[in-house]
Amino acid sequence: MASQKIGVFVCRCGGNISDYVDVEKVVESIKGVEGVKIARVNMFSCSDSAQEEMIGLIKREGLDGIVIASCSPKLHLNTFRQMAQRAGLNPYQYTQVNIREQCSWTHTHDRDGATQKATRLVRAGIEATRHSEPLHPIEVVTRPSVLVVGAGIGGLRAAIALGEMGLTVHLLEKADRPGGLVGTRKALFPTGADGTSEIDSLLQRIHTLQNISLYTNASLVKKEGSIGDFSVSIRVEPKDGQDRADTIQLNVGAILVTTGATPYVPKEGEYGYGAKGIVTLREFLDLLDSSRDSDGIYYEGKRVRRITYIYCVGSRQKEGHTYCSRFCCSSAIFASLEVHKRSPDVLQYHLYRDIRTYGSLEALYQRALDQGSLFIRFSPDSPPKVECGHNGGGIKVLVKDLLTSKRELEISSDLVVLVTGLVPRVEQQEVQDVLKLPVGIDGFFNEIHPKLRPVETVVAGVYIGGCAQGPKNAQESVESSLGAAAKAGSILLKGKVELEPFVAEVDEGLCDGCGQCVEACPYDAITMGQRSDGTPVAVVNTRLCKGEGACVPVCPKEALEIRGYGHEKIRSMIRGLLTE
Amino acid sequence: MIKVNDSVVRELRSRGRFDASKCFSCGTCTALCPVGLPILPREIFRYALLGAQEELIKRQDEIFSCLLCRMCEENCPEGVGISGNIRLIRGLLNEKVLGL
Amino acid sequence: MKTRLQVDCLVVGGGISGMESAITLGDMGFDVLLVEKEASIGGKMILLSKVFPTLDCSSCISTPKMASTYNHPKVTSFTYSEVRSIKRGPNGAFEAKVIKRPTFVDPERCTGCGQCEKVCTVARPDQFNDGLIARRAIYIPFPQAVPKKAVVEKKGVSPCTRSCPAGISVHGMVALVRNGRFDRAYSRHLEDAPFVGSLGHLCPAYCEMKCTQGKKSKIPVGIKGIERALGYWHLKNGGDKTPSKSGEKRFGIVGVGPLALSLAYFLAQKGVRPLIFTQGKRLGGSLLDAVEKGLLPKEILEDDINTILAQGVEQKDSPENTPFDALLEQNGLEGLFIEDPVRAKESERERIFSSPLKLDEPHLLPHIIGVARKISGPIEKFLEKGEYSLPEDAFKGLEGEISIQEPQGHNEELLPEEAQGLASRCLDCAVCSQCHECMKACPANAIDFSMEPEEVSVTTKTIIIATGFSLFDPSKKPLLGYDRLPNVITAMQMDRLLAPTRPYNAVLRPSDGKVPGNIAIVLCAGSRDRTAGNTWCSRICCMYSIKQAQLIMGALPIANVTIYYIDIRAFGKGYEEFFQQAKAMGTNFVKGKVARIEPTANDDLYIYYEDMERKGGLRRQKHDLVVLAVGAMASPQLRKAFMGDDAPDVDEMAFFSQSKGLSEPGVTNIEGVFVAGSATGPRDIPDCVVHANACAAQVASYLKKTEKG
Repeated sequence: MASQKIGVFVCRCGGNISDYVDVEKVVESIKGVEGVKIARVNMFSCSDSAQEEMIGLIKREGLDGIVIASCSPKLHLNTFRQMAQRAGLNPYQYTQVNIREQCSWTHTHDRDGATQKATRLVRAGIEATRHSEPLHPIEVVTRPSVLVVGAGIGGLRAAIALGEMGLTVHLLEKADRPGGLVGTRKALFPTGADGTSEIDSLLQRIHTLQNISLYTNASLVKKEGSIGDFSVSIRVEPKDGQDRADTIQLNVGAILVTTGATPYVPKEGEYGYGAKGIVTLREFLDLLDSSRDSDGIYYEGKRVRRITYIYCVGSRQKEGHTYCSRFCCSSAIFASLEVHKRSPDVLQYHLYRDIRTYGSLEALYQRALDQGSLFIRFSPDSPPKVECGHNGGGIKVLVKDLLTSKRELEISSDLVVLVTGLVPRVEQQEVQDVLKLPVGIDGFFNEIHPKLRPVETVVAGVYIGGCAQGPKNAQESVESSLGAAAKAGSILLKGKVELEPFVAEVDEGLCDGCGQCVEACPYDAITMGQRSDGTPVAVVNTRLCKGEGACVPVCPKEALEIRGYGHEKIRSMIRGLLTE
Repeated sequence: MIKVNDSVVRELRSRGRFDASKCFSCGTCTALCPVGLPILPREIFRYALLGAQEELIKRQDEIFSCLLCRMCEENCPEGVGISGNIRLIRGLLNEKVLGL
Repeated sequence: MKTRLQVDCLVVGGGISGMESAITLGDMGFDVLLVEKEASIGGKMILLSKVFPTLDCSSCISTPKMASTYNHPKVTSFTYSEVRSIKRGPNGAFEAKVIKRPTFVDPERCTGCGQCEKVCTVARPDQFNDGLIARRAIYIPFPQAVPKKAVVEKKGVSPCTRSCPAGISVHGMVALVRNGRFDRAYSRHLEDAPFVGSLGHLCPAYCEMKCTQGKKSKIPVGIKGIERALGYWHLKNGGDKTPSKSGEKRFGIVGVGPLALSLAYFLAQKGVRPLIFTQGKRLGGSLLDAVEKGLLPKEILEDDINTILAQGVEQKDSPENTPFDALLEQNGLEGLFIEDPVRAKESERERIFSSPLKLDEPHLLPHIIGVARKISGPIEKFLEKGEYSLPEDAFKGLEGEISIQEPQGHNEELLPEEAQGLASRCLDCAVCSQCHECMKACPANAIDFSMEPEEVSVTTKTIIIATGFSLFDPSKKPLLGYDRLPNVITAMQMDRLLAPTRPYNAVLRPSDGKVPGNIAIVLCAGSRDRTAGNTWCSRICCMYSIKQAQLIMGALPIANVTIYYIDIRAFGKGYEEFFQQAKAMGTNFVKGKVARIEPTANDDLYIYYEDMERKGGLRRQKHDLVVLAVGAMASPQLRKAFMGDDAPDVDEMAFFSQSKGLSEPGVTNIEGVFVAGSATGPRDIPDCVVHANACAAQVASYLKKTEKG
């Protein structure tokens, strides 16, 4: 039944709206509109006290629908729906009208215009509420299992957490063994923890928990379904003795993407890369790891006495990889501490732009300084030049030192370490395509909101963690992946999830079976079925339907409507917008 | 062009505790120095660390003008022993330049 | 009052980390108790203007979190509460004692209207504006507070009030005079005791003897002078002298001295109809002698007596030797009080009361009033129910008092403005002065000073420490001048100036309210600095300073902003791009830590730094406002709550340690105790949210494991 006693609340948003829109005038203008019982202004509608007041009004005045004209529904749609529920209303008889992002913030120089526009938008909102009906979310029983894509340290730890929560976990790893970038590292900063042992102990825990299956040489090739009930296909590459890959079908309730990242590889000639004696950070760490028992640092048989590190190679670029790779300053400095431990006579020079040993990692920087490492700052407009040794001579690095009045320095080096960061993996594209996950300009997977929802994505039920979301160190990868596991747990442990009720509905009386809607739907949510008399009729799969609405305009008989956004409602809203 | 080398540092370390490498170039010392002419301890130490002995010689007036008041040292965030380092450099200059 | 609660997880701290972990655990189906020590949840995040790097309005993204937390069906939130003790119980779970501090405001009735704040007479530095402005003793934390209810900051009773034998709310009177509300001060005094003006001349001023200001500076607040000034003020401006009400039960008093008059006053206040038998004497008794001796002006005494009569006290002459029974009969009295103990001995019987001591020395006036109040209660009870019992301590200790030194009297008149000056020295020891203005202003009758702390015993399987951090106190770096220079502010204060609920609705500088045009932001103020006691990097300051630079340039388009740094640490997702954006907008980035700040003309400031990447050497630069980017320090007070040897470890900077290695974030050395967010070390908001969720995952694993075994 449609709303006839509507409460309209126009928010000042602490000035964000009322500085540009005359909110009192808006209220005056719509007070007499059909269906409106109460209309008033709030200072901060989202505040607890305003919500309590609105709930009180709803109960006392017997309101049966509300309109709140405030900020974007992205922020507070759920807040106010829950408020409506607490007041005893059906949450779908509440309409949020965005007069901030879509009005006050875009028309800061036209108060009259903005006020008129806000009034029209509110009228449309009132029409929407007037035509609203009580709806109920679609309940989906969730499967108590999770697919984790990527078995680096993040994926392994997340799998354990999910297993311990009592969920079944399917853990995929593309390579032939789990462990990712951490698995081969013998000394992780800041404590020197052994990466291989960390991975080993995580694998042991996985074995002990009976509900985690690890698939190596495996990748995700297909995904169907939606949150709570995904159907996925895994391809496992042939092992010895096999001639064909295996395809495994799994049903899971949620998906975690922890596919990590890959070290940047400089172009040939970039800071001399390709020549002898020029290595990347990863190559250098591998070198250190493979020679732990050695009494010194050796490169290709020769003892190394002078190392020059060049920071920010492949990161903080003007074009290309504009981002900071976060972990590399600490990693390089930690490596220099390892070098000093083994061979205190080695001279180490660090050519940097900013030293980003943030938080407690600052202690690493202080130790390196104490041990005698020399830090030289260069400008990105005048980067260091690497002159490779001719005729077996050593490498020379030339740099203008900003800290010494831009004097040019010549540093003879036995080894130049290009401190390289992380970049998105090429293989990521596959996962992107299958899951339809968006990526940011930096190429890493994008979260819904970088501040408050850093592990959730726009695809409900799919979470991201670790370096797949952006470069970070091992501990941070674990934190982020565990965070994603917690979010997956929070939807699966309840056993059910609620989906929005806005799905397509077919009026069987009008449908003539033409099939245009089936073609129009990008989610394959409509199929052609049969009536009892054998005539074709469109059938909507409500679990797949996202309420996108592409099917609605293509239907020549207007037989399709999106529940909650019916034709009459939309027409009324348009009329509301057009009213002077 | 300065050819970076550790000869000066080794010399200074043979004379005592030269801990100027702890400096992370914040500039507090220079900013707090009460002496009229610009002593720039941070820069002096950098030349020493880079092995640019000629630069130290060029700056001998400043190096010897330091009052050793330790205003810089008391406020150095990294705890560099500035006055001690200055004295070591003075010792070096005494030997190399003044022939003492 | 004791209550018991059983939960799966106790989350200590209601900032972003506490809220996030509580919501996630609640979503998973666990029962959570969230305890927050301030009057609202939201932590530091709700106080910020916009957040980096998205420039989202912080309130807009925090309030839904706060609402979700507070309204979550599985989460119970206690605000204005503290965890007093934690110990492990016999079955492995923890027993925690949580104290819900009395707010003195009934949350069921309070609507958050804010009328109380407008009339409160005590100001305190506002912790939600980092001390930039004041709030009141009764306050609503901030407009978006969850819950939005007023609380009263009250630390017991001020020594002056406690010391007063007459039971006057001395602090309240002083606070009202300080605010220039003489009429309210006078009537507040009258609520407790009569003889305002007389006390101002005769009282030995025990309050001044106990005054904290007196202990600190040797000169106490001139309370007696204030009272005296009130007496004079009332003489000139005093209100209505007509009797306010006439009570039902009639009660006789034989005597005209201060005890008789005070008793009559208190009984009239209680709705009794007192009748004084003057028996040929003038009202005032020994106080008239004080007038005689020049210790008390006649008009002041008369005014005081008239005020007492105006309360509803009648007087009647009668022959001195009339028997008391006759007095009772002839006047229809329910009872009689004889002021003079000697005469009282003449007849000891029902319905006739007296004091065992002769109490009429003028310097004993405050004690006399106190005694009168103490016996007025039992007399009222007698009149209602017929029972009478005098409290044992009504006259306690007074024998000793009688031999006090020579009464002191003053005659000089004090003007109201002078009294205000005296009152301005009050230190508000107990914070709330109990002036009761809030009670009178509250439309919902919500204020209740009888509230007591409530102890809640909580049994919980797990604990999450989410107590956050505290900001570095820049007075520890005196060269930066925070204490002596008004236009050197902290970054939190700057953020408050930019926030939507900001105090001035504009960015103004403190000394003169001028809009600044040339602002300096000093990075590493108290971080990466052993001389400040903090060798770590605080991680958030580079980014929040870059954010502030962008916001300032948006709010003040012609302003110059310069950031002085050692390194710019823009390491997170989108951070480097945000930094480049600030550069493109015109923010100046200068390498060189600011070593010293000195004042110059017009309250402007000189900052001293080494301009190492540009002109070189020492440089002095003028700015009109300087923002200190203060760092994050540990706040490990919760450790004290852990009983026995089982307290969580902290690291060298006193943050809570995560003791089990890199694969176990959020886990402490104590089984079942976890830590989330910046309580482990400085962290920005997204890292807090991630960490809080990771911590929730750890708790969920732990709870599932212990459930089974």
